[in-house]
Amino acid sequence: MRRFVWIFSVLCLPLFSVTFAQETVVIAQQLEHGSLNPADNRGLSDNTVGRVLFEGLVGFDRELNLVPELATAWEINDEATEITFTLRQGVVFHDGTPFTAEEVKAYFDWARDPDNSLGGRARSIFEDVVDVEILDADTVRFSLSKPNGAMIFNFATANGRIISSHSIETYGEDIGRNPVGTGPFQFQEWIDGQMITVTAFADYWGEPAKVEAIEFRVVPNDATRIALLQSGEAHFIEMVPPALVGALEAAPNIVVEATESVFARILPVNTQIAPFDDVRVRRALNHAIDREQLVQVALQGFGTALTSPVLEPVFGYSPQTPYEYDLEKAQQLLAEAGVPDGFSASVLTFNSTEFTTVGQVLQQMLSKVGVSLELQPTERGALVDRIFKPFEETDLEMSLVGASTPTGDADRALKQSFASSSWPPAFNNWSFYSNPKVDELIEAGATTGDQAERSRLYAEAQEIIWNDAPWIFLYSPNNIAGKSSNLEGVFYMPPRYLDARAADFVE
Amino acid sequence: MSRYFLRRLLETIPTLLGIMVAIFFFIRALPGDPARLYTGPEATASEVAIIRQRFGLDRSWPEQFVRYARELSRGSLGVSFRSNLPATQVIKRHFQATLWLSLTAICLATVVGILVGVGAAANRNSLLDVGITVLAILGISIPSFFLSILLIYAFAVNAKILPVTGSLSFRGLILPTLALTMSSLATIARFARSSLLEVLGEDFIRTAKAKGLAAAVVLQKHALKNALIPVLTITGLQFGFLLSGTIIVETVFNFPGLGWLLIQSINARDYPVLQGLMLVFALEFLLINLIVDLLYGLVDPRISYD
Repeated sequence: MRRFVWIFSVLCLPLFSVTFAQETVVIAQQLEHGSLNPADNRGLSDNTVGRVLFEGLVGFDRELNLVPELATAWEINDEATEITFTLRQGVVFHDGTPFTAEEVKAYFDWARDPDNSLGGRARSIFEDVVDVEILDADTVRFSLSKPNGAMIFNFATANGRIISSHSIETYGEDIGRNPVGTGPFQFQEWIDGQMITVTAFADYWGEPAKVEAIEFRVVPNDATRIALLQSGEAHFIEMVPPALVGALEAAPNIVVEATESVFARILPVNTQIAPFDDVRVRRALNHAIDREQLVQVALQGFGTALTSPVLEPVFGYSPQTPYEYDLEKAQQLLAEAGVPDGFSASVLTFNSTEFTTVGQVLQQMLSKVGVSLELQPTERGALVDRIFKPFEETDLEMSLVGASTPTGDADRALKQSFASSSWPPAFNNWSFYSNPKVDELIEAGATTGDQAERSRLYAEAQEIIWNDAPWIFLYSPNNIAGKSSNLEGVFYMPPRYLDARAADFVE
Repeated sequence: MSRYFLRRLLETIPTLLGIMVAIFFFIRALPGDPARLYTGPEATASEVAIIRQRFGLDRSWPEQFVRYARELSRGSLGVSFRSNLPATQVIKRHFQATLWLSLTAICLATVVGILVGVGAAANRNSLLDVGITVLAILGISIPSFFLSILLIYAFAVNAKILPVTGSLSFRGLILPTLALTMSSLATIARFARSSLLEVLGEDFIRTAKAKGLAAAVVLQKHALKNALIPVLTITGLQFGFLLSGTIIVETVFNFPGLGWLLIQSINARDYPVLQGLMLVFALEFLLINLIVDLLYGLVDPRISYD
């Protein structure tokens, strides 16, 4: 019996020996990883891992300003039809092959190749590129089929990050599971659906990684992510629900960080049908919303009211005069539009907590001006089917949805949601908004390389759209992360992926 | 016996074929375009078209079906949309995880459940019996997600002796097993208790006692053997139930089993994996039914299959 107790105790030992290797940072992510092929990158979790593995010719800093990465300088010609990059010297890929002008050409040619089924996203965002030319050993020129002043921003997105041509040849279809980049960390292991591990890359050209490894764990359940941070098993967790921020902050070694995002919560109304075809009705709806209270109720204050169709961290943002909360004005506008007693309308929305809560708050707010909303909370897949129906088939009246600007440029933000050519199913103009002047301004902004001129054109477009009110402008939710207080250098970028390149433990 | 077994096995083939066809069309009738979901909300129509082509969704349903059937005949389920890995490989890995979790849970539930049930029955109406009955009712009634969270906070967040998330390792299996086993354990305990009490009231037990046998011998040799038949039946049923993957426990513990995979695959409309999962679930049920039928024959000599 005594021997049994002894053996039992030994067997139980691993149960109680809790050791934390402080050299490995554990990050708990909400969404699953799909592919580490940058040309095919589409998910936020993939983008987060890609950020430590790869580099683009240019990148974004924390405020979404363009910064040099694999290119030390770049130049856009006045017509915005050519971008010339000066490449960094002395860079090597994780597989030991040197980074050269040939590598740049090889990656972009491969990503744009119509016969390459693994380049979906890159092919679409680099559609305007017609030629990649090697001018000399450290200069590469991209020629565009038509002027595109926003193109440079695409090089800073996940799809502009470069992998070695050697790895593309070696791994073929499996390239998404065998990433070889130039970043401060290199790929080590991927346990499907569970985690990806990366380790410090010794030959990195820049500031070396400060920790030995990073584990990116996939934990879709909110409560589980929070428990992981509280137990010390994870050092950084994504997507803390606003309602749980208070509980997390109460813990001594945990810090909650809420930062601005490029996500908007919006309520596009179908501007082609009555009563929404009258701009006074759309303005009335905007005046009937108390945005401060909405953010307070739906997000415990972790969001900011929208001040423009373009979000603040985005290039070209220009703040507009807010629609002040004024029920009398709203009622007066509705009366002028011939609907003094209001109307009822259906609202298609997601079945998630945030969207349904916001829907209910809006229901109550708009009921004060006689507008009754019929909420239709819908599962993501079914919602996507309905919202992308062409105008002739659509039954959309209003939809409560999200919009984001992954490229960080106003061209994308305005074009996807307000250009006449972006009516579903082509893109995200869910309000079926159409204004020739806006189309013209978006086009003009895209066809010049002069960034100050682009800003001016976009500011004008924003003002028109703001006054036309094809959306009920709501708010932008913060990116909320929880982290242990001794971790530094991991943070949310506005497009909601993480930058963990500088991860470090401090005392 | 073996002829019967063979016939039953052959009978499963048309059933599986029917399921295969039904699932193929049911999944496609669901709203939600896998290519749209894959590319995300920021995708342009041209990008969605590229992905739709890659998934083979640009072809007509009959064409897709022929392709699916041809692949299936070669033992392949196609490539998962979600992960770009062979669907068979994905399902196999998650099945192993669920199998281990179900096995540990059902073993614990059976052993502890029978012991507790027998203890309660042998000491009928004692404090022990009442206590066990109350605990058993609690075990059946407590929702597994709540129990999971309680376990996580007690052992992982506060005591910090076990990991929050489950995995296929000794430590990683403890909490999910506990959370999962509770309702099966309680069910088996209650079944064992009532079944044993019933047997203890039978005439042959009185005879055994009258012969002057010790109480322990009566219990072990005469009563238990007879009382356990219905308990084994319920254990089989519980096992089948656990094997289909337990969505809630797997989600809370982030345990990579079939339930977890099912949720992820539905969200992504991962047709190849969903088709495979449905076949696996159907196969499980057919096999468990078959095994249960055969076990009846082994346990009760009066049942014969020839």
